[in-house]
Order: sequence, then structure tokens, then C-alpha cells
Amino acid sequence: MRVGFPRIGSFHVFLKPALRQVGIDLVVSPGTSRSTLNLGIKHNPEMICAPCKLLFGNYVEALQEGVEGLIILGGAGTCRLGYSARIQAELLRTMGFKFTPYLVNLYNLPGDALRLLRVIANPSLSQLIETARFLLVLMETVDRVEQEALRIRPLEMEKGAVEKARDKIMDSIASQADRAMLNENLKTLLSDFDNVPREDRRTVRVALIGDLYTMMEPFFNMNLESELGKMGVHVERSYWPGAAVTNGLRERILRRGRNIEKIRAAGPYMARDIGGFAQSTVGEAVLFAQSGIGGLIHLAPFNCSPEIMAQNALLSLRRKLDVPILSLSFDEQTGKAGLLTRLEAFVDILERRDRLTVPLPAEQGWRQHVAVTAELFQDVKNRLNESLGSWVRELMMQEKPQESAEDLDSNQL
Amino acid sequence: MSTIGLPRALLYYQYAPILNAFFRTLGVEVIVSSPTTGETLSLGASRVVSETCLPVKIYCGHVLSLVGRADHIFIPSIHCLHPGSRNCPKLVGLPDLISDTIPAAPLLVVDVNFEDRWQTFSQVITLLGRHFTVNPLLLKKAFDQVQMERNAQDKLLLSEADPPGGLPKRAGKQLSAAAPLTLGVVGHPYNIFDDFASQKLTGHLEAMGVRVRTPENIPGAERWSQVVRLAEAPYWTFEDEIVGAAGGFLDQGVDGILAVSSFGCAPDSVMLGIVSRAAREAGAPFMSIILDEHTGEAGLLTRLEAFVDLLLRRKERLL
Repeated sequence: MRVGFPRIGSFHVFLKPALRQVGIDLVVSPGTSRSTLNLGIKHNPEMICAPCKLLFGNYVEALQEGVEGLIILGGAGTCRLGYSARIQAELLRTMGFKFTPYLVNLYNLPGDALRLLRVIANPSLSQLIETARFLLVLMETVDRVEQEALRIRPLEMEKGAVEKARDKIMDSIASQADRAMLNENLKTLLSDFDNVPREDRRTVRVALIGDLYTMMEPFFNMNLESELGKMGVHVERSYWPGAAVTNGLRERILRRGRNIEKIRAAGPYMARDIGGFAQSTVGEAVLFAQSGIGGLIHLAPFNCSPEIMAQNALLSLRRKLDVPILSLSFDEQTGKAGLLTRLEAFVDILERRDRLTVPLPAEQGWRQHVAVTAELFQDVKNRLNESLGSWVRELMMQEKPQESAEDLDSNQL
Repeated sequence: MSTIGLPRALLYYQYAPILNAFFRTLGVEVIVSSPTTGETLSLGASRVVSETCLPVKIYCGHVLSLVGRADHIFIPSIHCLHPGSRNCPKLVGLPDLISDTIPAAPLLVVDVNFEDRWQTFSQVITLLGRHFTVNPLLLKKAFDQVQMERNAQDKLLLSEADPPGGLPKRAGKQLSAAAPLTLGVVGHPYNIFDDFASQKLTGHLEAMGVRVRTPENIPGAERWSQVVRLAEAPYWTFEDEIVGAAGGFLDQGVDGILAVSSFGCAPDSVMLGIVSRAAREAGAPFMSIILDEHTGEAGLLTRLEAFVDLLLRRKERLL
């Protein structure tokens, strides 16, 4: 059976081989592009968010390939995606497409994925377990490839070499037939990265937090990850599909792990689950800040209401935890040049901050040492001025509180 | 006597009479912030990120104006009023938002979530009352007052008399039956009834001789059954104010539907799609007005006049 699926980042790389095993031919819509967006804009209400429009365009493009079923992402999570998913299935039918819609709840992915597998393919129990295990290994492999690419991209000597190696590895992962074959090839798969010539360079660590779709889909976020990599930034991400599923399963039994930690960490800033990924965005921001990250980039589609709430919480978080945060919101009209300028400015600031706080290794040359020492001196001077000022202010203020404290004592006596 | 501050924004327009009656019975003095002005908005907008929607910015302004004037500021977090539906993230996260952006505000928070089957209306009210008294008789009396006020409010709103308590008075109600045009205005009360946010939209319409009907003029039960008719099952807590009301108006055969929403409202952005489709199918003209900080009265007036002119011409042709 041919089933359509929208393109989100590298989701199709692990879904395709796993579903092939149970006889489902997953038809992934051709890469998200300007024409995909135009399809979404044409048929959806104007004020709906850009990811909804892009997903809709993806559905249309998948249906044009001639599929019998279509996986539609939605779910009741107080975000407008859940509501629009219902309208979108209806809209596609009025456009003249004949298909069976399969609604997937984004907020309960593992459970819903298993339910769908049984509805669409109805495999035997042993087959189902085997497929689930294959899928988990695939997801973890894809995670590892992505992580490695993010780590070595700022170190590459020749621009674009990592990108090429990554695409090659992803293609070969997508062609794996079963779990045994994947496990066998695991070592050789990753060897393509070793051949990328690289130099040792100091990098700043930046973590991406925020909305899942914006983080995962390179068309929508203007290839943010690789652009940052080219600027010499080691990018980390708050969401990894494989880790999200395996951690989720493990935490149900062990009752501890990243997901539970981040909800606890979000507590002082956002105590309620308000829907979408807002609470986990705030929690991840706290955890990353505590791990000593250089800076955070908060990604959200324009007008995403859960992420706006998270952004408001980040305002006070930034002050309390002293971590630089850049908030970026994306829509149909985001231009790449403007985005790059903002990113460059942010990375410049982070590099300065990094140099000021961490001592330099000896071999970096005396010129830089002089420059950095001058900056350090200026910084120390500023801080001294500040603390002197506040010390004097405290001295001035001390007169009154002492009196009132004595008054209190005498009253108690 | 302790005092409690009610910000005159968001859900105040629905629950003002109930809250007033409740707190007065408990012997708590109620301080309501004064009606929205430009200053309220700019105060609120200075605290939150610029993408936040207009009603929430206004809300923050009202909370700021109450800081220092009241012992507590009442801020509800409404997750779910009807099982199966959820509320807008901004309304659910109001207490978190206020404590992040206005740390000086003394909050009195109540969480309402009827999805949780252990929670009932009387329980929420009693829990809220416990902040001020432990006397069970007084709590019972306050709860009875709340119930009475609820019933009275329903009757009053349906009769098209002046809105009770906190809601502003309708400007030109003398026009009622003689008016040539009936217009169904759908939208949240905090958009329609806040004279600053809506730039006196209902007043302008009534001055043009239009009979204005608002979502409150349709019984709650009918609104919910209309939601089921037009959108299968309710998804948002206040879906009845838009989809339900529009369905009711279309059944009554109004001359047109006017939707009022604020820029960037997540629930409204999807619901208006349903309303416009329903209006098209019923053959009723539909216009949507989106409010934000930059809405000017003159521009709004021009659009309203043009819409009303078109409706009048259409009606003459049909007669």
C-alpha cells in the first residue's frame, strides 16, 4: 500500500526502511520548496501559521504522486495545528483527491505510530515488534549522524564537505533492508565523516530550542544549522527524534530522565503545561544554560502562541541565568540576508563573551593576548566601578534599615 | 478588610458579575481597574515581547495599574471548561506570564480544569473562597450567590437589555426592531466590548442604524449544538463565541456576519475559516475585522460604512 508522508527534516530517512519491512511503501513528498508554500497559501486561511501551510502543500504534493493513504500530523494540544489538521483533510477532499486520512497525534507519537501500523498494515505481533526495534535503531543512527555532522561542520577545511558526506550516509541508511543488515554496516556507514579534512579550531556552542517543525525543516529555517556551522559554531539541538522516543519509553519505567528533568527545570518560569512545546522549550533553555552553553537560539513560526508564551518566560530566564538568547520567528516572508546578518552579530557577541570568560591557550600569539588583556582590563574596570558604586549606595542606605531593625528589637522586648 | 483587584480585560467581560457577587458576599472589597486607554496598552506592551497579542498586552497593562492598589490580583488559569476542548495557550499560561513579566504583582491564582474528573465548579469556587474565610456557611452563601448571578446573567443577556455589571452599555439600543439591518457580530467579548480595543465598533454600527447582535444573545446550549453542526466536535474552550454564534446567527437569517478578532489569535485564525465557509454556503455576506495596536478609528469606520452600504443595497435588491 502506498502511503503519503510530509517531508520534515530527515524523518523519512528512518521511517521509509522500517515501513518497507511491513509492506508499506512510504511516499515522501518531494522536497519542501517555494511552490509547496504557494499551494499552502492558496488554500488555507490567511492567518494560519506557516508550518500548517507548508504541511498542507506537502500533502497536496504527496497526493499528486498518487497515494491511497495519507498521514496527517495533528493532535489535540491547544496549538492551531490540531484544529487545522481536521479542516485540511476536508479541504483536500473538496480539491478532488481520493484517499484515506490517517491522523497522527504529535503529542503521543510512539503510541499513535504503533496504532497506525496496525491499522494500515496489520502485521503479526512478532513482525510488529521486529519493525519497532528496527525503527528504534534507525532513529538512533540518524540522530548520531546528525550530531556528528553538527559537531564537525565548524571544523571542515573545505566548505560543504560535511554536507556532502551527510547526504551520502543518509542515502545509504534509507536503503537498509533490516536490523541485522543495519547493525552490520553501522561502522562503515559513519566512516564517510572520517574522510572529511578538518582543522582544529575553537568553536562556540549554541543550542537551538523552540518549535519542532521550525527546528527540523531546513527549507523553513533557511538552513540555519549549516549556516551556523559555516560561521564556526558547534550547534546543539533540544529535540532529537530517536532520543525523544527512547527516552520517553525509558522514563515511563524509570521515572527519571531528560523529559522529567526539563519539566522540573521549567517550574519557576512556566509551571503549567500550556500546550504545544512551550514548557519543554523553557525547560531545555534552563538545562542548557546550566550546562554552560555559549548561547541559545529560540526558533518559532511567526505568531505561534505557545512559543510566544515561552519567549515571554525566556525574558526573565535570560536575566536570572545570564545566558544570551536570540529569538527568531519565521514566516512566509523571512529573507535569508536579514537572518544571516542577525546570526553573524549574535555569533560575534558570543565569541567576544567566550574570549573574555575563558583563558586563552599559550600558542595563540602575543597580539591576541594583548588585545584580550586590554578587553579584560576594561571589563574588570567596569565591574569595579559598578561594585564601588553599589558599595557606596549601600553605605548611604545603611543608616535607615539599621534604625528600623533596632526599633523592631525594642518592640519585641 | 482585604482587597482584591480584577483587571478589566480578557475574561472579566464574561465573569465580572459573578466575581463581584462572590467576593462581596465574602466581605472582600473589589477593585476593578479603569477602562482601557492608550496608556494601559503601552504600559502592558512594554513588559511582554512584541509578538504577544493585543488582548494580552492590554491585560498586562491592567495588572500593572492594579499593583500596589490591591492586596491580591485575581488571575485565573482556565485549561478546560468542557471536557474534550482546550483553551488558548495564552489564557492557560496567564499566571505564569504575569509572574515572569510583572514579578511585583501579588497573584491569587485559580486553576480550572474540568478535564480532571475530580474537579467540579463548586469545588473551584470553594477553593477560591478558602483564601478569605474558613466559615463553611459563608462559603455556601457565596456559592449560592454565584449560582443566582449566573442564572440572572443568562436571562438578562438573552433579553437584549443592557449588559450587566462590568459590560459597557450599548449606545443606541432605541433602534431595536425598527432598524432595517440586523448584523451578527461574532468574536470574543474582550474584543467586542473593550471600547479601546474595538474602537467603539458596536457603537458605530448602531449609530448607522444597524441592529447589532452579539454572541451573548444566543443561548449557550444552542451555540454549542451549532459548533457540533459546523465543526464536528468542539476543540477550543471559547469556540461557541465564534463558530457557535455564527451558526446561530445564520439560522436566524441575519443580513450579514461581522467577525472581530485580534491579530495573531491562534484559535480565531482557524475558526474564521469555518465561519466564512458557513456564511458562503448560507449566502450571507461576511467580513472579518482584525484588531491590533495600530487599528485606527477612521480606517475602521470606512470599512464598516462600506460593508453596511453593500448590505443595504443587497437587501433592497432582494426585496
